[in-house]
Amino acid sequence: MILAEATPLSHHLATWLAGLLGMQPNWLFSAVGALLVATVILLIVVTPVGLGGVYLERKLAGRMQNRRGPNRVGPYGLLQAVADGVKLLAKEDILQRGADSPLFRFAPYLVFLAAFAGFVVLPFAPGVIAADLDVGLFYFLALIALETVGIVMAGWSSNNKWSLLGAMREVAQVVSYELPLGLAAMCPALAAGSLSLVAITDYQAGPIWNWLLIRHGYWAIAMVPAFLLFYTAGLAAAKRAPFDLPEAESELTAGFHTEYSGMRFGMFFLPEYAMMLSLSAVASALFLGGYHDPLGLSAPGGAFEGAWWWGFLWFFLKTTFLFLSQIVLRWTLPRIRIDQVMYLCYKVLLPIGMGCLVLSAALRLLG
Amino acid sequence: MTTIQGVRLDEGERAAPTLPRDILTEELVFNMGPQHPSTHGVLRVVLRTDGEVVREAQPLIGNLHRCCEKILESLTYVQGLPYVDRMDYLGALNMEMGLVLSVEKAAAVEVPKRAQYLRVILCEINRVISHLFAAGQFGLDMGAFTPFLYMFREREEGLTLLNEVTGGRLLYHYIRYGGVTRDVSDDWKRKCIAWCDQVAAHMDEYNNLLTYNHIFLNRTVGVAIIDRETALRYGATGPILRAAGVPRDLRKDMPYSCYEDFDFKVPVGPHDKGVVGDSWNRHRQRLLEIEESLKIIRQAITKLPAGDVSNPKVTRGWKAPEGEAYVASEAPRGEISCYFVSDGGKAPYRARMRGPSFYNISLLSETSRGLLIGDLIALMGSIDITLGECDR
Amino acid sequence: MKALALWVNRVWMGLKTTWIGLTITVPYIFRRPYTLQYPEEVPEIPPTERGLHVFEIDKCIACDQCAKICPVDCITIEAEGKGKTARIRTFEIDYSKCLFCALCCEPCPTECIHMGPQFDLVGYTRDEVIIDYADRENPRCFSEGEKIPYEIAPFARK
Repeated sequence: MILAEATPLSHHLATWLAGLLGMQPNWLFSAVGALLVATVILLIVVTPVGLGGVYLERKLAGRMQNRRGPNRVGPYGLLQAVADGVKLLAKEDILQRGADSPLFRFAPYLVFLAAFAGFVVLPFAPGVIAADLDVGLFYFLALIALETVGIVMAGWSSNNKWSLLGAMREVAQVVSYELPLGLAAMCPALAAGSLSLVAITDYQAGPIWNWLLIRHGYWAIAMVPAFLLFYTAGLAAAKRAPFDLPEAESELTAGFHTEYSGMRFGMFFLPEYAMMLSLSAVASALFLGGYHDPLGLSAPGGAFEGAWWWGFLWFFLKTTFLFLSQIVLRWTLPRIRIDQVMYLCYKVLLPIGMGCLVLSAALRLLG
Repeated sequence: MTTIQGVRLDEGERAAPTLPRDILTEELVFNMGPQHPSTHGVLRVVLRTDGEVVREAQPLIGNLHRCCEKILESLTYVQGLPYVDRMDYLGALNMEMGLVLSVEKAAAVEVPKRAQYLRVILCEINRVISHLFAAGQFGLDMGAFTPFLYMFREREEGLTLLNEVTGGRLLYHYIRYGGVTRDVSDDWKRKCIAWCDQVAAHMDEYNNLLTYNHIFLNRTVGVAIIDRETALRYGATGPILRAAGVPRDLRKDMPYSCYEDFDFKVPVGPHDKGVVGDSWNRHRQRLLEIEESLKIIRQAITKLPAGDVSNPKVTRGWKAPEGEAYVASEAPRGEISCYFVSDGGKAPYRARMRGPSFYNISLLSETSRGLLIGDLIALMGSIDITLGECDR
Repeated sequence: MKALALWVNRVWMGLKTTWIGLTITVPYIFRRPYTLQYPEEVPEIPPTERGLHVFEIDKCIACDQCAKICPVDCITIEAEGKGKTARIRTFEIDYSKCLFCALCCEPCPTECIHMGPQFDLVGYTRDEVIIDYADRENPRCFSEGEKIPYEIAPFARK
């Protein structure tokens, strides 16, 4: 079965479950196995994203602004995210009278789904991946499009013109920025010859000059702009500053999620960090070598070949570096106005993306 | 009224993207309510927009009206002074000057020279911290959270200085008829000059982080232009007028309280980037005025003459004799003045306070036509109103 | 061609000013923060601070001058007798009205009321912010011979 072959982990789980019940593993067991793996990965992933993302952002923001950040709840404020979560859960769940109730209720879950479903294709370590899809990169980019549906539902069903405005801006922004995002993601896919994130990562096995960003030196002319492009378009797709107009605090109070309170708001809040993290992870997998270390020890023939903890460490370091840089950029730069965001996308990033694609194709052809 | 492709444009409206008749959309009526993160206080703006383009923006003020002028008519002179502090709470000493100067002129009260210099020093410190707040708030409206906090750090030191002399951080009650309440010590003078150096040293930081940032420039250059004619027509004063190219500063044109003794320039737009009268120029204007105010503070401290700080003839039960006067002075947000009429009674007969923000906010409806909502925020942030003096 | 040069300049300026901004904000991560850990660390309050009042009850002669001059009428005094033999029953200041203008301190003939350094007063009801200074258990009410533990600047007399 396709499912069973795609993920060794879920295949093991399926056969174990089948053995438990004394039956042959068939498609049902494969499906259940895949679901369980996805759930476990989500649980392992949602908690750090939620706790770590919120805490890091507030602490870094405080430090950059010459103040302390949270330090009352727990040692060094580490339990602040827990306190935030408890607060959100305890808040009153306000449902407006004029709001379109089914859409209003469903929208956060769609956004949550879209953001966290992207985690199943992230290559955390050699052999540790929820689903090594052949089209992993394409699947990841498609999920970003799904998120916009949720946001428009939220903005429309709130019965609030400001929310609608924020949702409209968001749709324009995210849908437009998928173009340069896709183009920039195509460059490493071209170089590696595959859309699978694991294949692209393994193409960069080896020391640091095998990483696509600076591969053999000359690849950098295509890959460095592509990386910056992916990063910038990723910021816009994640609605992070300087592209945070959809949730512009100074203009629209909170944009499309103005009317959401309590854990419904939490369901919007968490996916923002999830998107940031998954985009950082994909960027590191595409350009910075994923779970390979700069010394080449996890390459075939190296000392730590196949060692999952070594790979995870490097994956974690790279992703965290990009994640922190996103946070730092948010608190440094002002917000870009929506028509300038569109200008940037169509007149700056898209031409650069096309140029990078052509360059990558040329470099691939020339060897 | 012209008609382009079936869409009527009011005269002067910026040619927003026009749509063919069959996909003409409805206009939205928004309420930027009294509670909004970027209206500076309880200002309500009713917007009529075509998508993102503002067709009409009507400011509805009066949410902070506290009957200041009527209360001034019922309290004695000494009792009424704390109320004018609360008009522009960010530049409170300048508000006090507004009332006190008119009363002193009507009653022909002499103010000792040391008191006048102290008034200048503290009013200029107040101007610096008010402009720091306004510039930081403008950055905050544009989405730059960090420069706001850096400016607040400098503001904090300034507030501590004012606290040591007057006893209050935001509302001072320091300037009285005939002088001021307290004298300053040498230690305080030293600290004040150190603070001036600190603010001057950090101006580079603000400029690099906010003023010359490319995104900020894109957001504010050429946006919400208030040109010379418009500003003069609406009676706008202060940094708005100066950024529009009119070299009007009451400290130079109608000097009061020994301002003629000090050597300072009046920055006038256009500044090095942008068009004259746009939002960037207003922002840069405030930062340049901070630097000029620091010069005044340093000169006043070094030249501080000896003497009394108050006029002993003005006692607690002092009443102004019959008369009237109008004196205008330069507050951080524009021209503050008081038309003061006395009939010899224990309270003023009429103390009509002219708060600059009332006239500055009237620019909103005309200038906002054709702007995007993001530009409207830039306009409101760069006009820099305080509802306290707008509504009194 | 000129348009292309302009375009390249815009992209370059965007990147360059972003980098300049980052060089300013990122070093702040490693610097000591400017904030005080209130309430463990308290800011230094100067003696001129106009905070909650400090009342020397044995000096008060119940002349009512402070109550009369208060612009918002927040002082309520109930006393028996006048002059040095006055016994103050209540001296209430309603802090929900008080402007902290210190006008009450100026006319006092015996200099028994001052404004002290405490600036934070909280309560859950309006009654909790009405403070009776004639209550000798009030920490800011000082009897004869008790020394005021903080420095209070003399007010400019008019």
